[in-house]
Amino acid sequence: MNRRFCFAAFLMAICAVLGIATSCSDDDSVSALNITVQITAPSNTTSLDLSGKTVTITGEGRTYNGVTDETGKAVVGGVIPGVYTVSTSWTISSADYMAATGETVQNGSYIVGGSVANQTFSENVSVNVPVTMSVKQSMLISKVYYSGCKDGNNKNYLAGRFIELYNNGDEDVNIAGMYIGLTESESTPAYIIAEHKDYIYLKQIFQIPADKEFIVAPGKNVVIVNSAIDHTATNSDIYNLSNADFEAKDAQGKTQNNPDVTGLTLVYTTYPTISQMNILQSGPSGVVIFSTTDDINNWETVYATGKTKGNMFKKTPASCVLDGVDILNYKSGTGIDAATKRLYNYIDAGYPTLEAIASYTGIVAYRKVESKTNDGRAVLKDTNNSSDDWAIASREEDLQPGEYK
Amino acid sequence: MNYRLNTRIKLSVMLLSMMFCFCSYAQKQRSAVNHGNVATKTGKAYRITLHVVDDQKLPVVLARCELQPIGAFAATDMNGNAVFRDVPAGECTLKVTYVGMETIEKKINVSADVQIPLRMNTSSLALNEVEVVAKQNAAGESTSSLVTRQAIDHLQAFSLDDIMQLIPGQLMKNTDLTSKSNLQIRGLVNDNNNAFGSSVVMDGMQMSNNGAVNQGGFSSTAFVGTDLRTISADDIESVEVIRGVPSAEYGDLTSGLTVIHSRVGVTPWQVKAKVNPSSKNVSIGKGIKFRMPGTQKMGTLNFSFDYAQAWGDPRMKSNSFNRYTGSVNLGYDFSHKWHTTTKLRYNMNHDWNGNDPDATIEGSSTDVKNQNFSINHNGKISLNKKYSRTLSYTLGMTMNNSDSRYTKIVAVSSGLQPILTATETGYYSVPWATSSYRASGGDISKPNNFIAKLMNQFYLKSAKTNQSIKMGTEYHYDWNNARGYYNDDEAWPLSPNNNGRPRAYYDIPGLHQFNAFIEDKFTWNYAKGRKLIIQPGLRFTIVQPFMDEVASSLSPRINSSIDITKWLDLRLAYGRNSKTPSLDYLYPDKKYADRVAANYMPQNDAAAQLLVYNTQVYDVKRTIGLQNATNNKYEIGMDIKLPHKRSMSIIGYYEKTGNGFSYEPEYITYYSNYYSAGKGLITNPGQATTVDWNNPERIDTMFMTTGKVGNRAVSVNKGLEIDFDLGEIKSLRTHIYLTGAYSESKHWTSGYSFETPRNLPTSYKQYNTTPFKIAYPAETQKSIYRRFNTNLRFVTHIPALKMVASLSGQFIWYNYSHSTNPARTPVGWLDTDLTYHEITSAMLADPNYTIKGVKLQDQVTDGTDDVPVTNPVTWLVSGRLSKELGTFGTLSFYVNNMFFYEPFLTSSASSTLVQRNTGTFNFGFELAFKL
Repeated sequence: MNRRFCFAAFLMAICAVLGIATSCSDDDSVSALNITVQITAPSNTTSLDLSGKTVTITGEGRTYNGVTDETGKAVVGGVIPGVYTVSTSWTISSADYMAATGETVQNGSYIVGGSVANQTFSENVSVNVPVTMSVKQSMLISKVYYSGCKDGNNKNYLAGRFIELYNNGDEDVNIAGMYIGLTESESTPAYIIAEHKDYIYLKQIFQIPADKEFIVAPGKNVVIVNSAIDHTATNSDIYNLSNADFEAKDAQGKTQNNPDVTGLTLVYTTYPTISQMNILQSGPSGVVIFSTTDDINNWETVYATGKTKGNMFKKTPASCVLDGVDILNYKSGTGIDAATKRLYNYIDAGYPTLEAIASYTGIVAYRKVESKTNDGRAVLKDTNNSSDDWAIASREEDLQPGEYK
Repeated sequence: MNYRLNTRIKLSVMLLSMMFCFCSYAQKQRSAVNHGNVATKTGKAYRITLHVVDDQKLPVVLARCELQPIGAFAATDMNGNAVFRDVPAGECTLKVTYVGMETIEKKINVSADVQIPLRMNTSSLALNEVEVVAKQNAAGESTSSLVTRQAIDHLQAFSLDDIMQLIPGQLMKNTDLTSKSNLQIRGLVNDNNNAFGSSVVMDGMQMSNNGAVNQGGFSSTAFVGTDLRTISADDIESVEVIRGVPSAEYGDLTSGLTVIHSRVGVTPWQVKAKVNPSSKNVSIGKGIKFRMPGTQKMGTLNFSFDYAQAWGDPRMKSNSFNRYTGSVNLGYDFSHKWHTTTKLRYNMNHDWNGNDPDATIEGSSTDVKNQNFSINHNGKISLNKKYSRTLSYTLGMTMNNSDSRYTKIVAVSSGLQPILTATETGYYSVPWATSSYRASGGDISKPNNFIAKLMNQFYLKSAKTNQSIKMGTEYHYDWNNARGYYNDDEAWPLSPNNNGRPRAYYDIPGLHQFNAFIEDKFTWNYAKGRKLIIQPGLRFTIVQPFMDEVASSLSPRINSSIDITKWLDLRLAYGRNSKTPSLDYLYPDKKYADRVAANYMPQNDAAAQLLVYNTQVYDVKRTIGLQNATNNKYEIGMDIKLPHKRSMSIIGYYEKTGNGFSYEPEYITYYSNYYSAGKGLITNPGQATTVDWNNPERIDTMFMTTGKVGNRAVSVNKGLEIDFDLGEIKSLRTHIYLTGAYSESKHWTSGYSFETPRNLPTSYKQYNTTPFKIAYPAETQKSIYRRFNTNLRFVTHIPALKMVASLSGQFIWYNYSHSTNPARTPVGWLDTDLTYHEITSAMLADPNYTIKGVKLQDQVTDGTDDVPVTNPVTWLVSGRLSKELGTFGTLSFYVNNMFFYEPFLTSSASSTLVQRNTGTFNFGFELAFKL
């Protein structure tokens, strides 16, 4: 009996100790924090409205929201201490964009957003969230036929390569003056995206002639080619591109150009012998479209990071990029090396997934349909992540320009 | 040029005269001098009679007998007798050689008429001595390695290419007959100038490569030099590879020399077959003796036939090589003073590669048949005159017929291929292809050559000194009278670009080369058993004399050695070697540049489509001012004799070719117009488009190289070679040899390199034009290679079993490569009017200085040396076994990389694991019968 009593007393004592211990921690109890989030506008804006915007604090499996005042400040209460990402995002019209920046732009709407990651909140603090503006893209890159194919003699045929753009918005878009850039394609990336946050390196830049309007209606496409001819004469499996919208004219006399098709203006090329779009059949074949009022000739031309010889690239501000798709090189045996990505997550957080070497297989990378409008117009997926947004169609699937799935 | 030539001729005549005067002076100064056939006041001349029999006591007919250092020569007659007349008193070395027999080398002291019986032993593994490794030569002569028949057999060599791996510094390798292989002496990488300057002399006749003409000139893929795989190993009696300074007797080379002696003499029927997984080789040979009816004159006749066949990859029948060689060797003595050998050799090599019949038929194939017929006649006449002891001569002619056929599908990947066939400057409306097409054509090349050589040898001798003098003259004529490269249908060319124009060789002049040489081997026996040898020589070479493209060179050479003690010899050598330019370098093909002038392709109006190209042609015709490529070689070495027949030989060398052949950066400029639908083209729908020639949209100024060949390739090879005979472990009957080399090869180009400026505005890049060319010093960009490798060989020889086994361990201790690209500052620029402007330091200091709108500062590049790459130590072990089967045959077997050591290792520059020693595992088997 005594022994039992003693044992019970012992257990109670332990419980008491544990109880004291836990009550001690209760004494130092978690108090919810008030986090002040201050949105700061980009430096190139003069009158960006920062009021009434939702800011989100996420992390630790929790989400807190707040709304900014007219100064762009929001106080978010009840935040349990932890590690969080603070972000904000909203859409503005092109009119608002022009009002804010003073720049003349063509497209419909823009995303204003920013985020700061890995913030440790243990007390009431203020967080500064600088925002950038990117186009809520109407004009998207919708197809890249980069792989080339074999001709009737089983020899490589690359003349049929093209890039297709698509108006994914609800308004007409004038793409006159818009630029098409090809990311550099060195075997070792010429720049490391973690170290060059604000710039991408382009090997070639073409411009859609700015001398007259080129209106793209919602749901309509723009086909940009190297050779606007009927390539089915060479290989019945490939494309008739004789109705292409724009052609990168060849200055070397090694490609048939169609005099009826408007030429792109070559603004910059790394290679002195290549005046056409140098889309690589095996990747990397990253494509961006961008818009700027700068004179591109004044932009810096640079060697690959750490080099002072070799190819030189146009250092292009990432902020002017409207859309991009990062097509990477697929290596036999090792597949795709995601470390060779050229585009930042806010342009393209992924890459179209290949499962085989692309060279000369006739495959085409395309943007998937997300939904259809009531009038049957395809709305393509645009989450700035081509791993989700894009897919690869085999030659047998015969996905023609202007067709979407 | 003529001034330089005249100076050279005068200088060479002067030097040759001086040398001759020196000989005469030496002769006069010494009262106790013997010469040639004349017994002088105090000296007497004696007669040495040799009687040579084989191991069955039968006379050996036409054995070569030499008496050194006096340079006397005799051959045995039908009774096995040979006579040396008028031999001065003193010590001589007698050397008797015969095919299939062990060479006899013995010292004799001549003090009276003497008859020497000699017995030659048939080479056999039953003998106590075997030579299955390369043997370093004696000091005082050119540094060389001798590979005997026994070593070739033990190696189971298919061709001369295989034999080279026995030379110090060379790496072991597998037999590969399916790809051409040239000779790279003391070079670590394939260097065209090294290969072009490596000479092969077969039975007294130099195998010339001066008549070869390659499409594409200095293309890195063009094969240069003598193709070693075409020389079958079974008919070779011995090979001497001269890495050092060769005798003045040999010329037209820079890097080195290989001297091949074929089998001449009475031999039994010999049938050999060898096989490894990718190659097969069978040969049959026999040597007989005969007597000319009605006379006492004897001769020998050898004939052999050899067939080799190889597949590149036995699993894929896509790459094959067949080699057929037949030769007849006639040895005949017209008299006891006139000994001759005459050789006829026919060789055909057939390379084929194409699609495996079982694979997808794509239709591309390359079929190269190379036929070679040579006849050469060597004679030695023992005149025994005062200044003409032995007269040697060689007359030879080689006729080659290389017939290459190519079939391929020409890809048109960019969708438009202009068919460019113009051979004169102008604007041409050209046809085009829009998709790939089948094309065929070929190249018929007939590099032929004729050689005549005359050499006189005599000696001057006193009590303690001896001078053995060689002097001679040599004439080479190379020509190539053939169709050249062609397309079966010019409308569908094989290479529809500026390098693919056909060229016939009929217009290429022949190449005349004259040589004269003199050499004096001076031996001074300054103490008992010790001597000083100095062998100075001089060679003069002139090519295309009395023509504008004349080139000449003077090559002084000296080899020397001294016995410091009984166990230590020192050797020192310097030599200059010269290689004359080939027909390809003296008479390069025209240079073509093609540029689009109009490209109008309306898709719905085929009649209006027009493609115009501007073709610019520059014809160098003949390369005036080209010099002979000259190599300066320095050597220092020592030979140490150790107890128990051990020895060590260490040789340090440095050699530089400062003016190897390369393209000259010589430019012209021309205007090229462009006409577009917007300006210059007159278009009428449904009708042919015409050009308003005076109304171009653009006029581009273009630079073009002329294709002239110059002397700007520089290479430096230096290193240390070791050749140790570590003696025998008697209890194991095992002899140990260690050879190896530390080598360094550097290559660069001298002068300036002209480049297109960096960071040009897109307006230039778009049309591939440049406002000027900018000059950098070329020599800062170097390729450097270093390697230290050794080969340890254990040779176990059990005479009782007639068996020899060897185990070779090759270690590559150090393997380094580096391409330098330090900071470069431009030194000048070449304007479109071809005026050269220097760039001063003041211009460079000005950050805003521009040349024609291009910023000068952008042309200054920082140093970006590629990281030197060193590889970890790798090794491999090969084993070989030869066993004689009674007296009628031999069985041999080998395994290369017998432990199948193919490790994955990183290099210093990359963490990527790379497999080493790949493709080194192989095994093979040889069966030889003597009937």
